[in-house]
This record gives sequence, C-alpha cells and structure tokens, in this order.
Amino acid sequence: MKKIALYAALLCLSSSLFGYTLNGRKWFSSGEATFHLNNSNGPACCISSSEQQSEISAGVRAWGIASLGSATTLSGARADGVNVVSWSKLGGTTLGVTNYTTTDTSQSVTCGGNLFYRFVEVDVRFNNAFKWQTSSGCSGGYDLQGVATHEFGHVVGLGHSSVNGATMYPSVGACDFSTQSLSTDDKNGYNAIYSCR
Amino acid sequence: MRKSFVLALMGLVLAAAVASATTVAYVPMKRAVQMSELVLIGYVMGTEAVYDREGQIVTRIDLLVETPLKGGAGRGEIFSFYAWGGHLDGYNVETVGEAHYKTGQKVLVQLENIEGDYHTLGLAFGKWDVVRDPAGKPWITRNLEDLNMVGVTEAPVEQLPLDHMLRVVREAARLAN
Repeated sequence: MKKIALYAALLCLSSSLFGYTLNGRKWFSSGEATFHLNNSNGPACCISSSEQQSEISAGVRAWGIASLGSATTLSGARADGVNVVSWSKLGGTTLGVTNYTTTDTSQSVTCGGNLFYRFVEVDVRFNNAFKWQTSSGCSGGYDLQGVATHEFGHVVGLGHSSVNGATMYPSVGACDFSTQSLSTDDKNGYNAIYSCR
Repeated sequence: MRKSFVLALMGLVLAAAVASATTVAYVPMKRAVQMSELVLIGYVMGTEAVYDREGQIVTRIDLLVETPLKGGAGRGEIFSFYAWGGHLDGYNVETVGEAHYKTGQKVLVQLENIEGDYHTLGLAFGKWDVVRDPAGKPWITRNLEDLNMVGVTEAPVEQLPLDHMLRVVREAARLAN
C-alpha cells in the first residue's frame, strides 16, 4: 500500500517536475522558420494593420528560431511550401489555429536524448471575427500578442506545459496578459529543442 | 499487479503530455449549446479528406443522425460536416486541437456554420464521444488536452451524463423561445 502511495505521489510530482513538453519536431535552421504575414483579411475592428503586424511579430520573435519575413498574399490554409500567418473566419470560439502542414519524417536529429523530425511547413491562422487588443488593458478583447506567443511556441516544437503561469500552460483566465513573456519553463523547453542545432 | 497498473498509468500521462494546441475562447456549456446551430447524436459512417473551396485540405465526416437535439437535421439523415486537416495527395495536414473521428463511433457534435460549411464549435471542444458506464448509463466525454483555452472562468467539463447535456439543450431552447 505504501508503494502505491509512493507511486501516486510520484505521478502527481511528475506533472509539475516535467513542466514543458516537446512535440518531436523542430526547425533545422532559422531560415526555414521564416513566416510570411498575410494581413489582407485582418479584423475590421479595433486593431490596425500595423498593430496586427507588430503584435504577431512580437509573438514570433519571442522564440529565437522563428522570424517574420516579407508580407505575402498566400493563404495560411494551403500546403504550398510557404509558412504563412493569415486571418480568416474560424467560427465563434476559435481564436487561432496552428497547422503542422508538412513534416519530413525522413530527416531527424537527436538533442538531449530527444528525437526531432524536420518541420517543413507550418501555417497559423487567427480569427478575424474576434475583437483583438494590443495593450494590457482589459476591454473585452483578446490579447493578440499573448495568443501569438503561445501559438508560436507550438510552431517551434513545444507542447503544453504543466507549469501554471508559463506561456505554454494551456489555460488562461480572462484579462490575463502573462503569456506575452516567456517563463523559465518556456525557455527551458525551447533550449531542450534548440540548444543543439 | 497494482504496481504495473500505476506504472502504466504514469506512462499514459507522460504520453498524453506530448500534444499541442489551437487556441479557443472558453464558453460554458449552455452558451456553447446556444452558439451551436446544430447539436446531433449519431454514428460516424465514414470520413474522407477533400479540398475545400479555399484549396485547403479538410476531412468530411458523414454522420448518420440518430437523435437531432437542435437544428434542422432529421433522424436517419446522413449529415456531413468538416474537420480541418487530413491526409490527401501525399500531404498529411495536422490541425492541432481538431477533433478526430473513427468510422462506427457514436458521437454528440455541436456544429456551427463557418463560411457555408459546418464544423464543430471550437474544434475538439464541440465533439463528444458517447459511451456507457458499467451500469449501462450513457455518458459523453471529450478530449480537451490539445486545446489552449483563454478566458477560462471554471474547470472545463470533460465528461458528464448524457441526460445532463439533454437538460442543458432543453434549457437553452427554452431561453431562446
């Protein structure tokens, strides 16, 4: 019985000890992780085109490997070999969607004992029907930079974290802007993927 | 035996942690029903990856409707809706956080119309598996682990008796009238 209790305790402890999780995929070079923003279909309300770009850019830049390149007119919904961030209708509750569009499973590397396959194309779409906001004020909108930072955590190969307060923690309360900045756990997760290039 | 069970459970937890997400705005049960144009119980008759009008790969799900709880679909009708992503022409597009369907599965789905096509409300958020407990009582369960939820005001419901959902649907209908 004592052993059972010990295992149960270990089980509970494991989720908080492990923190970040990995998705088994990574970008093999920073050049491949360049994303192109299609702002042509952005939200009509409350946030300008330049603000959209700066908020999304901040979310991308939070993770060192990824960057925002030139603008594009391509759709973020298609498998076309280009990493696109775009806007579209995604329904009444979906704020952002990440598509792992293409992964090359014939190429892999090992880092810190973890196996990673090669990302070829990832696309991200945000819902243009929502009210997005830029500042940390709480006015009934959604934090574009915070959501972008979380989504791009997945884009660089992270899964969810069990550490409450981490950007990659999968639940955020209303008016919580903490996901804009990376926690130690987020950084540890990133380093677990990219400390060996 | 117990030791094996606990170790197996730990393994499951670790495996389940390898997941990723799409972000949805959290809505409580009743609000989610109100936002759903259709709420249907039925059997998945088949799935097929196709291109939608934008040229993206989506998976069409054909559902044999057993019990229409809300909306215009009829009992015995094959109702089709779509999930983002799928395997087609050598591409395997994975929309993280999207619901997964298997032929023969009994499901309860909450559907919304997006640009003329029906999708589950909030991807995996709107898809429930219909199961029975050892006593034969029907329950519905959903898998939210791949979703990032924003604006969470309560612990999201992941399983409940089917009867409870029927009450929620009736209450939402009463409020709408």
